[in-house]
Order: sequence, then C-alpha cells, then structure tokens
Amino acid sequence: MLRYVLKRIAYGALTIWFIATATFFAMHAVPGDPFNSAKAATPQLRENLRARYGLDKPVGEQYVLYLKNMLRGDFGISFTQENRRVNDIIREHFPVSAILGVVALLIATAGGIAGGAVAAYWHNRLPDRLLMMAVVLAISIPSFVIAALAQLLIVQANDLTGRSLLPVAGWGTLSHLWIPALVLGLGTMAYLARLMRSSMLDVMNTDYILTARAKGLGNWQIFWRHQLRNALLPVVTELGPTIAAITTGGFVVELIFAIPGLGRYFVQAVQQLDYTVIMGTTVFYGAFLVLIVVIVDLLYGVIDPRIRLHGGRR
Amino acid sequence: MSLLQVRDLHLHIGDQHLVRGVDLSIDAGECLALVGESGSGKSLTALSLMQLLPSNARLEHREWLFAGQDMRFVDEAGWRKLRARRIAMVFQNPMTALNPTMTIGRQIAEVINLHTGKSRRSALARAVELLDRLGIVNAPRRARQYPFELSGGMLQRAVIAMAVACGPSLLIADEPTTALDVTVQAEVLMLLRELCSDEGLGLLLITHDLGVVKDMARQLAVMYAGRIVESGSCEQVLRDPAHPYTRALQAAMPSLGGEAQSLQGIAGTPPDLSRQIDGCAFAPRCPQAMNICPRRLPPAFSPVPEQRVECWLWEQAR
Amino acid sequence: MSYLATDFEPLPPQAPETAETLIPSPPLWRLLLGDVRACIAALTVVAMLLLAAVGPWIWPQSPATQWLSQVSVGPSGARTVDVVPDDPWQGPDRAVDSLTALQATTTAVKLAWPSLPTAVSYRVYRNTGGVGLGMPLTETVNTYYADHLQLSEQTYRYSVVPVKVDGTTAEPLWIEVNPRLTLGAFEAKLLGLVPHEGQVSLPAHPLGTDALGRDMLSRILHGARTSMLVGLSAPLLFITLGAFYGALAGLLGGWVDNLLMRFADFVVALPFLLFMILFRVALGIESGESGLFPMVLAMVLLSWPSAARLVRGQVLQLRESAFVMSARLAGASNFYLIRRHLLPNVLPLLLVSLSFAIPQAIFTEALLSFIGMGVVPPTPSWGTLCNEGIRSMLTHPHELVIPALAISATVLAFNVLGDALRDAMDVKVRRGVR
Repeated sequence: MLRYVLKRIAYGALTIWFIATATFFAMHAVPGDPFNSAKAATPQLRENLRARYGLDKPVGEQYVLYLKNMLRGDFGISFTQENRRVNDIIREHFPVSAILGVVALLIATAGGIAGGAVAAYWHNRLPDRLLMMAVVLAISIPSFVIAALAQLLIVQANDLTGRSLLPVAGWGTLSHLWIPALVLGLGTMAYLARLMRSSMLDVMNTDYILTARAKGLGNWQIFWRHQLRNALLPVVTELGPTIAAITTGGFVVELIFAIPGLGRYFVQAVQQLDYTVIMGTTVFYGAFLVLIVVIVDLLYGVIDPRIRLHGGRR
Repeated sequence: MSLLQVRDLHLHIGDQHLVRGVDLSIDAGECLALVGESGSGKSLTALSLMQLLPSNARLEHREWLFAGQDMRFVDEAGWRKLRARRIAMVFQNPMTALNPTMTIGRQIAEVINLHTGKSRRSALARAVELLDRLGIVNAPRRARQYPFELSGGMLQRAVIAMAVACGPSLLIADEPTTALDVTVQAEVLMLLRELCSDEGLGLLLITHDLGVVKDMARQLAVMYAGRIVESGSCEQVLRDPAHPYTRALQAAMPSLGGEAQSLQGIAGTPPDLSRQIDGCAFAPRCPQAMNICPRRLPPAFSPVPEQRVECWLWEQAR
Repeated sequence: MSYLATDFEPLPPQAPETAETLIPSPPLWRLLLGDVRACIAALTVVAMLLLAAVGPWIWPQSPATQWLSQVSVGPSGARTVDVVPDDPWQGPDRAVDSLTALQATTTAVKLAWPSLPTAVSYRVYRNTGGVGLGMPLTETVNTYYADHLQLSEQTYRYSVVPVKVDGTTAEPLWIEVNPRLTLGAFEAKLLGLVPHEGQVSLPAHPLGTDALGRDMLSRILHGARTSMLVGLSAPLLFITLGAFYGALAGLLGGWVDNLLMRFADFVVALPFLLFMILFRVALGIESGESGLFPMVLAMVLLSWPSAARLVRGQVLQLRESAFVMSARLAGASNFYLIRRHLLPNVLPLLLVSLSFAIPQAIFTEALLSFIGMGVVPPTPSWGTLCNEGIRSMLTHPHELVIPALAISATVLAFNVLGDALRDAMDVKVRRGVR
C-alpha cells in the first residue's frame, strides 16, 4: 500500500513538473517575446520583472529560476497591475471557483449516481427511457446555452411572481450559488449517470449477482449490498477527469453569471496579455488537477480491496 | 418418495425452446448426474429448478414436487425463502461467483443471517466454523480475506460452505470443478460426495465430464438439445450405453489407464433451438440415423429395467 | 404405432453442418440500417455536412450585409418595398388638429401635432407595446418630429407631452403607429439596390435577422462551415496522429513504449481549456483576432493521446493473441499481419472514437468562440453566433436559439451515431466475428 501511495505521489510530482515546463516554453514561444521589457506597463513594473525573472539572463537560467520560484509556490507579480502578486490574485479568486466547483461536483455525483442507479434498476422501463433521454439532451446542449436558458428562466420566474426569487447573476450569497452550480454540474451529472447505469448493468449480469439471488436475497438487498458498491468502482475512477471537466466548465459559467472566480480572471488576463498571471494560473490549475487525480486514485485504493492489498491496478 | 420430482419441464427464452420436456427425480442422499455438451440445456435446467431465470423466460411443467410440496403454488417471496434454505446451488466458476468487494466470511454470514435471523457476529462465527469443517486451513483468517486472495480450490470450498450453510435438502452443483485445477477437482468432488452421504442431501451434479460421474453418482441422465435422451443407473448406462449420442460422448472421452484408443469427435453442431424439431434432435449427427429419425420423436424404450432411452433403434430391435 | 416400410432404412448420408453453413454476422452498415435512431442521426449528420459544404452557394446572401431596416426580425419572406427619400424633414405643409402620423415607414415616422398656446416645448416619447411613455426621443419647440431611430415593423405608441413655462406638463397626446417597411434611399444605395419605379425587392430572411440586421440563415450556413471545419479536421488529424503514435509504441514495445506512453500520460494531464487558450497566446494571436488554425493545432497537440492508447492496447493484445502467433508461425509478413489482423480490429474502434471526437471538437470550438478565445466576430461560427445572440436573448430569443439548436442537433446526431456504432460493434464482438 505504502509503495503504491509513494509511486502515485512521485508520478504526480513529475506530471506537475511537465505542466510547468510546457507552460514556460509555450510562453517563451510567443512571438516578439512578451518578457521583452518594453511590453510591460510601467518602468517600475519592468524593473520588478527583470529582477524577478532574470530576464537579462539566458533562457536556461531563466527556466531554472522559474522552477525554483514555482517550487516555493511563488507565481510572481502581475504583468499589468503594479505590485500585485499573482499569488494574491489566485488567493482572492480561486476560493470562489472552488466553492462553485465543489457544490457543482456534489450535485453532479449525487445526481449522476442516483440517476444511473434508478435507470439501471428500472432497465428499459419508463424511468430509464426518460432519464436516458434527458442525459442525451444534457450532453448535447452546450453549457453556455444551458446557462443562458437558466438565466432566462430566472428572469421569467422573477417576472411571474413579481419578486426577486433568485438573482440572475453575481456572487456573494447562497442564492447566487445554486443555479450556476447546477448548470455547471449538469453535463457531468449526465455523463456520470450514463456511466453508472452501464456499470450497474454490467454488475447485474455477473455471476455473483446470480449467487446473491441463489442465496434468497430480495432485489432491494441485492441492489444495496452487492450491486451498488461494485458498480461504483468505475465511477470513482472517472471522478478525476470529472473534476477537470467541471473546472473547465467553470470558465463559461463564471463569465455568464458574472462570478468573480479564477476562470473569469484568467480570460481577462488573456485579453490583457497579462503573461505572468496566465502562466501562474495555468500551472496552479494544472497542479491542482493532478493533485485531485492522485487523491482520487488513492481513494480508489480504499474502496477496492484488490488495490488496497496488492498495490497495483486491477 | 423422492425429494424432487419434475415431469415434462419446458423452458422458452425468447423464441428459443431450450428445455424440451425434461423428467427428473432425485432421492434424498442420492446423487443424480446430468451430462451433456455445452448448450444442451443442463445449466438452464438447474437454474429453472431454482427459479433463477431471466425475466423473458417462460417455464412450463406437468408436475413439480419438492419434498412433497407442489411448486406450482410458490410465488417469488416463497421462492426467496426456499433458495439457500432448502435448495442451494454451487456455481461453475468460484472466481466470479463471489462478490469481489466483500470478505468471504461476510458473504457466508449474509446467507446465514438472512435465513436464520442470527446476529451478524454469531453468523460470522458460524461461517468460520463451516469453512473449518470444509477443510479450509486457518479459517478465521480466510474469513476476513477477499476472494482475490484465495486460490480457486479454496474459493470453491467457500462457495460450497455458502451453499450448505442453511442446511438445504437439495444441492445443485453446476459443473463445480470445470474451472478448477485438475489436482483440486478430486478434492472438491470428494467433499460434495461426503456432504451428500453425511447430511442426506440430494445432489444434482451437472457436468460434461463422464469420468467424474462414475465415482459420484448412482443415477445418470444424458441430455441433448434440451431433452434427456438416456437415463438409468450410472453403472448400467456407462457399461452398456443404449443411445448413439451416449456412445459418441463416451468415445470422445479420453480414458486414463485403459488401453490406447483413438478419440472420436462428434461431427456437426447441436441444432438451432429456435426452430421446431419434430424428430430426434440428434438425427442429423447420428451415424445410425434412419428415415424416421428426423421426422418423429422416438418414444422411451427400456432395454433393461431401470434404463430408459429415446431412440428408434430400439423399436427396430424389438 | 404404424410405420412406413422405409422408416427404418438408413438415412442417406448428409453433409454435416459446419461453421461455413452458419449464418455469418451481417456487415456493420447492415446492423446500423436496422437501427432507426442511427439512421435518423446519420441523415442529420449528412444533412449538416451538406449544408456546410454547399449551403452558402444555395443561399448566396452575404452573412455580413446589414439590413438596417430589418433588425432582429423574425422569419420573413421576400418582398418589394418603396424606396423613400431620407432628407431632413422641414415640417408639415398643413396644420393638423390632432397628433397625426403623416408618414409611417420604417425609414421615418413623421409626426405632427397642433400647437398648444401655453406650451413652450414638447417632449416626444416612444413605447413598444404597453401604455407608459417609454423611451424619450427628443424635446423640441417645433410641432413636428421625424423619428428615424431603428424602426421595425411593429406597433409603436408615440406620446407627445407639452411642457409649460413653469416646467409643468400638460396631458400627453398619444397615437399608435404601425410603420410600413420601406428602404431609405441612402440605405438602398449602400446595399447596391437600384430602385425600379421607386421600388426595390428585398430578399427573404427565412430565419430572420440578428441584432445588426444580418441574415440569420446565411450566418448559420457560414458558421456551419467554420464549426464543421474545426469539428472534422481536428479529430481526423489527432486520431491519425494518435493512431500512428500508439501503433509505433505498441510495435516497438519495451522501454521505448514505456517512454512514449508516459509522455502521452503527461499530455493528458495538461488542463485542456487553459492550454487551448495558452497555445493561442503562444502563437501570437491577440484578442480580437480569429485563430482558426491555431485552434485546430492546439486541439491536435492536446487530444492525440486517447487514440494512441487505444491503438497501442489493440497492438499489444494482438501481439499476444494466439491467431497472430499462428499466423507468424505460418510465415506471415508484418505487412500481412497489419493489413489482415491489425487494421480490421483497429479501424472500427477508431471510427467510434472519431464519431465521439467530432461533437467534442464542435463543442470546444463553440465554447472557445463563445468566450472570445476562438473565432471572433465578424467571422461567423456557431459559437460566436450564440455569443451575439445571448445579448438580445431577452427580447429576441431566436438569435440565441437558432445557433444553439444547430450545435445541439449536430452534436446529438454525432453522439447517437457513435452510440449506435459502438452497439453494433458490440453485437459483432458478441457474435464472435471480427
């Protein structure tokens, strides 16, 4: 077990290094070198950048310096805003994205697992047909359209009741959270529901379910004790990529619902060509996602005894 | 009176007529071996006897008595009480027949807990006891392990322990040794035979291996394409097979210790059971087939008492 | 029982049934043809591809032409309208005794009203539906006013409020006006339309126009080109690249395979959307510039590993399999093995991947364009159309709904087709063919 954990962590660290390196070289490939001092906004900023990134030194040394800074968790200073550290920007905006993402993830996993289980339990019957139709629709409508439609719906509902039931956009209170989180989680929910359903059906056809029936267990007992846990295994492995998908979707939802998260800030930074913020955010997000995947992998080990005890993938 | 008595069992799944009129009778403490190629309907017969069929299956029979009870009037709730408690089953592959994410002990305890209402702890203790009695060394530790940590032979013992945990009177073993190492096969069979004689269990042993049958069963039934084509006492049928299919099956079997014989395959493939079969299903593959064979179903003949065969050759011989 | 004399004669020997006489599994397309959903999906896909390819020729309106007299209108047919002069109006040539619309066209609504002795000026308001005053247009000392402000064919309620010396207002006069569609002379000239007997014919807008008066159908068709171009080219490229990469890794095996697949794992770990944008920046596309090629390139660079894993897995499986072993023993060449065993196994899988990668790519293009990080206006793409449509969503929902429907229908069709393909393939696997 320990070997497995260490291996996963070491591999995660290597992946983060790769992301940081790819980001560094991508940014240095920008035509007309963005780190060329003339592009920075003020002379003060220019001086700060030169000192921090060793811009007068060769690329190799700059890279080493960059990695050292990253290792210390120091993402540098903003390119367009004097004296604003990228770390502060992340610290300010990431929690917003994180709250939105976590709530969306909870909605998506709970809804997806429940939906998939229900569909499988009533396989090929009405609940299954309806759910699968909803799933196909949810997968085929772009998230920004769903977001826009949700806003339209809120406006209509507010108009109809003559009261402000829910805010259309913005951030700050709980009521600002639900609809964006639901919109953000919807695609993932559909995906997980589908996965859970097929996983449940796979388990349903296994010998050990037949054994359970031969034991005289009722449908419901079989469902709870034997089917659910085994069906959850493949769903858990998908949680890592799922979180990545939710982070990605967060960009759009933050833009449409005017939520001051890191995604919206990143898009702004790209528009203003704030290179250091772009770099910092990319590496931060990448590292965050790798961390999540590692955690999910370790979690998987807890659920599946085969990995917990033997330290290998199935 | 026999423990299980079934007459004229038919099973349809979709448009397939898979079991086409099977008669079975098993006494307490007796072993009946059901032999046939894969696809002959033996496993489905077994599942029918446990009412463990897919939802699109249709089961018909003329008579079905189990321990004096008429099974026609048993509903699903009644079946749930019967399964494992009165009729239990041992499956072919113990590696897949056990839940991979549950310990062995808990899986056995589950069935005890369900049918006897014992507490989880005492059910678990009983499970360990059973494992120990079925010859698993270090049973308390094994009970805490997961299926992937045990060998095939040990797993099959665990499955048997699970099957006999509630003291059933009929045990159905569906090819219990096919998935096991040759060295373990004998042990598992021995275990089944002991259970059969010690506890007075009726045993329905399903196999495609005629070699297994000799030492195990007193009665033998040979199944082809959903029908029992020959049955009788094991000794008699093996010594003097009356049906060409039984003979072909025997010729296809390598024998240890006997004189070197050339093995004979059976040409052709079993028939398509979604089509109506009027005569003997084996006729297209039968080396001694006659004009009547594919047209009319042969009645049962008894060449000697206690042997029953469905073949037109015996009409001619009469 | 009675028997025929011949009943017990031996049956003439028959050819035993062998594997050849068993019914072979039908080809893939046959299986698909039996699936109604798959057929509808396939037809939709073909229709969308055709629309993207030849649509702009069949419907030759320019997606950039602005019909300023027909802004945000719903579906409309072709029509002939008057061309009216649009010189400044010098006032009515006769006095009126109530608020009157002397001209009511979409070029101008010319209002005149009787003068009120106590009034020093008049405020003019316009409202679209409802009884309130609505939007203030002007405050004038004249007793006439010509409204030129983005008129369309709908009911307007004009109110004129006289203002007295002390600043108080008198009871407003009001009138409801339904302007007739006309074209200003200047606009007609701008659009290159030559009036014939004072009239020009305007083309139909089967899907209406957008907030800038551009023909929606034409924009959807041109947008389809952009979306389909990205949606088809990127997946084709990255699946081909991935297939070769995976085949290479699988065939070479050993530490080379290990190294190659580790690299693929790294690429998978890159946060997709961030790197899509990062590559755009790295290639020097500034915001406001359309980056169609960089988008495809970034997608290819980031998406190849899944196809690589798939093909590598197949290659490894085949290398181990008994029938390849026996073919090798029988002296089959590598080329023969690849053609005879690898390709038939891998191609269907790649086809399924492709049918799922295409909608994914269409989605990505739309998403990036929507947030302004892909194709940018005025180039139409389904993403930018949605972006533009969302601004007028509350008043003219069709501008969002139509491009959104185009995306959803296409993506849905590809997804359903992919599902059907996969199911059909599963059937083949189960029948033990392939």
